Amino acid sequence: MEYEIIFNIDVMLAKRKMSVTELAERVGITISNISILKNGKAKAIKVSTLAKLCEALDCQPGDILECRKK
Amino acid sequence: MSQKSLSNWLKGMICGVGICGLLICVLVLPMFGGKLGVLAGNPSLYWTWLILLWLTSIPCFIALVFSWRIVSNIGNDCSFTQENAILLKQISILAGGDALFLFVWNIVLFFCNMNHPSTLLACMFVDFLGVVIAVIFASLSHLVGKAAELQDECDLTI
Repeated sequence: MEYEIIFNIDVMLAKRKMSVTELAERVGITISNISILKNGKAKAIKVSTLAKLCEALDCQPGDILECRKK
Repeated sequence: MSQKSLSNWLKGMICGVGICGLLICVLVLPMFGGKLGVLAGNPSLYWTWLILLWLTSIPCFIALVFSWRIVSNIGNDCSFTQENAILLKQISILAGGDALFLFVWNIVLFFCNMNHPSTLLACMFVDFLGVVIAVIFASLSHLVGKAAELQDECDLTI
């Protein structure tokens, strides 16, 4: 059975009352890259980008990452 | 040299090769083919060889069209794509197929007494060139395919 990693960014954005644009600015990546993360099309993420995401959303990696069966 | 100017130069080269190829097929071969047939002592060979050479030139022009598409992609900053890898593979198949076609017909015409040993030898050299081109383009196709995969991974790394 194959697994996939899902980025639950929307949940944290709602909790922090932050827009996608603001998140993209804080992390230093484009809005289209945020969409790629949300849509599950990303093939890899740099550790530094994950750290910036967690810093911007004030959360742990486990709060935005989820592993589930395809 | 920028990618756009490189693409323009390559397009110019393809146009030049295409025009030269057309001139050879339409003017040079018909003009000199008849004279060579007379020198060989068998003018009736003229049409046989002319049609054979025209048929072997068709894959070359198709390969030029594919090359044009590859060069257009390079100009649009899409050098390392699966599309380019497939086009390079198709050019390789065309070159190999063309070489095989020429080889087979050469042997057939030789056994039908419609060929000369020197012509057979010259065509073997052309066949060898065709195989070399096929191998080179197959290698390029493989490398571009691998590069396309790397590019994809890089583009989708956030």
